[in-house]
Amino acid sequence: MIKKTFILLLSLLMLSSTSLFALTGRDIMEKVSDVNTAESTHSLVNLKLIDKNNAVSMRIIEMFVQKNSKNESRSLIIFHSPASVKNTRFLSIENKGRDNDQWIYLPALKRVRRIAASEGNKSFMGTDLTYNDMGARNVDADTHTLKGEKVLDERPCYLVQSIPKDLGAGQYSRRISWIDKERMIPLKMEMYDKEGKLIKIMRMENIKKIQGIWTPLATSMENVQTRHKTVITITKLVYNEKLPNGIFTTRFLQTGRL
Amino acid sequence: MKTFFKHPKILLGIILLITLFFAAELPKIRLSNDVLTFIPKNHKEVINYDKVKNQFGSDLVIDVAVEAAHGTIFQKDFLNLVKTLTDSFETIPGVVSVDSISSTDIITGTPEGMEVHPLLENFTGSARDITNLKTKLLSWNIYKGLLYSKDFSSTQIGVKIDPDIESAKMDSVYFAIEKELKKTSSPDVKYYVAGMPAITVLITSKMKKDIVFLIPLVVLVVIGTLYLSFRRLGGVILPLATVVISGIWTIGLMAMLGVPLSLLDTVIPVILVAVGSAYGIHIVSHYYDEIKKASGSLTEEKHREIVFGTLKRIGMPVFLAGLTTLIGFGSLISSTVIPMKTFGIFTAAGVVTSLAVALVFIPSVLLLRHKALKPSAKNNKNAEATERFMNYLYGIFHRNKGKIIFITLIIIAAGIFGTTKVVKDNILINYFKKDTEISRADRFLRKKFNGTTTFDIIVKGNKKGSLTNPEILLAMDNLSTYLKEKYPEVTNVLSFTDFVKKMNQVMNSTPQNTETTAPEPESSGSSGGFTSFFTDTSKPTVKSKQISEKKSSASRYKPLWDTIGKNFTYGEFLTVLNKAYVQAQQKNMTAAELVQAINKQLNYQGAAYYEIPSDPGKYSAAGMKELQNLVSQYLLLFSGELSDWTDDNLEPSMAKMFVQINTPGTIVPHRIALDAEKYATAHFPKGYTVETVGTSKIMYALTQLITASQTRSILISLLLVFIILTINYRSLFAGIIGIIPIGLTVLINFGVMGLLKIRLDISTAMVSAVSIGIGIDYTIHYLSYYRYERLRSDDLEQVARNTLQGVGKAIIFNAVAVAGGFLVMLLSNFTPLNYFGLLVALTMITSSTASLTLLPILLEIIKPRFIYKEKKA
Repeated sequence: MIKKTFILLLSLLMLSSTSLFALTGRDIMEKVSDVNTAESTHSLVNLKLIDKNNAVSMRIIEMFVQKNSKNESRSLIIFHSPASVKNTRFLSIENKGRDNDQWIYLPALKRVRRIAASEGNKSFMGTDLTYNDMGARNVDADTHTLKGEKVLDERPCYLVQSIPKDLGAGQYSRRISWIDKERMIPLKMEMYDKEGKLIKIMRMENIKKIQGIWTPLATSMENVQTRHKTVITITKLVYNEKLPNGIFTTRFLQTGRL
Repeated sequence: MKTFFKHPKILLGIILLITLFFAAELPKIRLSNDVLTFIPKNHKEVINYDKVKNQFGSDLVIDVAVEAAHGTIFQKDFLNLVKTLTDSFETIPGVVSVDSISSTDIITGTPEGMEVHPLLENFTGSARDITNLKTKLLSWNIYKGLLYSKDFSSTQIGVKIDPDIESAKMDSVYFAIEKELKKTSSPDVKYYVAGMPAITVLITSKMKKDIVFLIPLVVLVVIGTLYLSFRRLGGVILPLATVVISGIWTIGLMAMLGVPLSLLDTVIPVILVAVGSAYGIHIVSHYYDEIKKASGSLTEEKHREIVFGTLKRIGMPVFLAGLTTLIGFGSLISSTVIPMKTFGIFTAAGVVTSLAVALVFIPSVLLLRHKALKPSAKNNKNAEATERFMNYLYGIFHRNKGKIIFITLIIIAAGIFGTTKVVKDNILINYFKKDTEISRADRFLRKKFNGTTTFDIIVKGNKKGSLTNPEILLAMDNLSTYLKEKYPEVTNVLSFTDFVKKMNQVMNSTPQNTETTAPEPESSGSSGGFTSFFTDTSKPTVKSKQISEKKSSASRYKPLWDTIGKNFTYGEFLTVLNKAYVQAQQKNMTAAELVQAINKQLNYQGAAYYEIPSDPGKYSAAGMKELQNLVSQYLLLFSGELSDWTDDNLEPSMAKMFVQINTPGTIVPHRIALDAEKYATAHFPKGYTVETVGTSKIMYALTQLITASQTRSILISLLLVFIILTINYRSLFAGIIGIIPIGLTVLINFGVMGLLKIRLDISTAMVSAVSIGIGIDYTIHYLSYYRYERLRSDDLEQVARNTLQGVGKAIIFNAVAVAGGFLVMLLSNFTPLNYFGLLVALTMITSSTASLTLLPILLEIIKPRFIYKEKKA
């Protein structure tokens, strides 16, 4: 009897939690941003660039990302392919509140050079993703509205619209995300340009649970205006690997050795 | 015939219905003057252009120059205005991108590396900021003539438009820009808007004004002429109604078929009025003559007889005249230039409809309104006066036969001479009068900036990455220099290589030994080793160890900066100055060039590295292959921003060079493009092909097609007229003699064009076809009348006199009326249409004069048999 009452109470509570305390757009996006709890990520990535004439270029890069206690990330990218840029190394250190520090090592130049650029809205290595697209966006930078629910690829999703609070600063006027209700990760995102026209569609596919973290192993980003497309495939991935301190230094950039 | 006209009311009803049908189509009419659509889509130049456009994006640019009324562009308010304009242009639908001083990022070298920042970042207008901005602008010479004029008085905003845009949307882009400029106009700035899209839009918009203004004017001229010749309301209304009806049918048909009207088609209504009214005039004139003869009361039956009699007598000559006109205009259908072809088709259709309407509409009306007719006894004074005048003319012609032949020979010689001088160039900007805003803007942009005429040089390699090879980059760079030095018209060659050179400079702006500051390792994270995921299966192209060993010994290159240090003696400075001067290409250096040469000597901000890295020693590279990799690695730093210049952002196999020329017209760009191709064949390494592409090249191809089309249409129409005359008189002589006056007319036309420096362009190229179509009528009328008289008399003098009496008046009247109609084109907004009107008017006068003077002399001298032989059957 007691058990029954308890279950009833519990189900009532559960019911109320969905009806009275329904998730807001912001809640959803906050949960999404909390999904990836990994402190470090080490991945081998294939970039496939497809232009509107279906000409394909391939790149292979290896990425090391490490977060510190302030949730600032340091990342190192090593180019493996094509041969012409092999062993080019790129280091980026995030600084909350000021521009990121960036260095690049060009093996043919045999020198490390610092790059200071306000290039958030610029293409990342010629892909359809901008540097901003690559990084996580602060949840409070946008106003999020839950626009309803939809099923995408047989998965129930929240449809969340995000509009930047500072419309002048960002590159998009709004984004619409399809958030997988169960796994709380985006499956699809539509980006609209400043004229309100659809510019990019991002799709996350081949979602696998890696070390307990739902991870899309294939991401495609299509610019519908230029008809250029980038397919990012993660071929190897380890979370929370103990990365040596020394790799996030210019010394490592220069020598490739610790 | 009688059964056909049994129910004139029904016939009129049908004509009314058809007219209403086509009138309802009229609102659908589209205007388009996109010159790029003037030549066939499968033309080599267009195919190449489309390919390049597809690869490298739009080259349709509206150039907006902003001039500071006082002082230079380096003023806070001025630059803020440029930013406002840039931002607002960017939001116009159909605009791909906007290039201006406010949207440009500048790459600069720093002691530690490179910096990419907006040119105008944190610009406050302080003296320091101004110097700073000026320094930045001067640091890369590609900005000169692009972002600033040499005197710093103005800047340029390039508004790039979607190349696949429909013409209606192109209009809205242009007018949105104009609106924004109007909104921000002030006494402190002056705006100049030019560029091909602007020209295209303005042609269409001025064309509308032309149509609204010119057509009523032509109608008035024709009403005047009609009234003068008939002095009767019916004589005015009937031919005019014929023209209006056939005009509605023709233009309505174009609207229904979705054929856009081009600038040339402005002329269609004028031609229909001038030509079409003639058919009505013939019928009405003959009808009035008959009515006059049938004095006394007119019964309905008698009136009917007169109407049908008129049709029988006049129908055939009117039909023949219509047929030859049809041939003249129709010969333009053979043109490969689309608007010329369209013009040919629809003027031909217009001639057919006005002929048909004249032959059906006028008799129907006449049949219905017989009761309203009151035969008026006209005074015959006029007739007597004309008769005397014609006699007088005959006297002159008769007495001066020798002189006429002599003058004709001189005219032929002068005509041939002039024809050789005709300049064939279809210059878009010259469509406008010199004092128009667009014309002024174009001149301004050509004077202060790099100009609005451009073409691209596309360099293709045979495999991925072949365009990072220093050898080809060096060759391309040499081509740039070659073109700039050889042709004063070439204001700039902007090339993929400029970006490579810039990156090379920036990355080498500090000596090798300067170290970058390293970030401290953070405490978090492990201190152990790591394993790369990547296992390389390919053989490394260069062994890194070897290079690091080579490094120190291979650094043969020592810029002066390193050797002389920072404490400069006068002697050392003079050495630098003299070296810089000696290394200069030409003797008369400008100050800017001298500064550049000194910078290079001293490697000031890496100036010694503003080059294609091609000397492995200087770059301590293992070989060319490594320098090629270096270029790829530079491209990586451009973050894919070079998509306007290469086909791949790491390993391009294709690259673009952009040539700007400050002369209008198509001949100069064509010559330079050919030379560039020739240079490339001679100097480029093996495995690379070069192609020149662009709107200026399409314009040149258009000019060629116009010329070829014109020649073809002249030959076709002369041949067909020859055949018709030959068949009609069953004599080759008739054909030959018949085309002499019109041939002479065409020759005089070209002679005048050559001597008066009137260019052969898309509209003046149609003068010949039009003048053959209309002008041959005079010969035909003369020949048929002469023959009629010749069969009645052997006295050639009498025959000639009678012919002039009989047909001279009609010919002169008609020629003057048609010439008058075309002279209305002198009031057009467009220079080519002014010339068109003038030249057609001229050919009307020359062809009628030749028919009345030269023709009788030829007939008298040759005495061809066809003229006094009765036609069989």
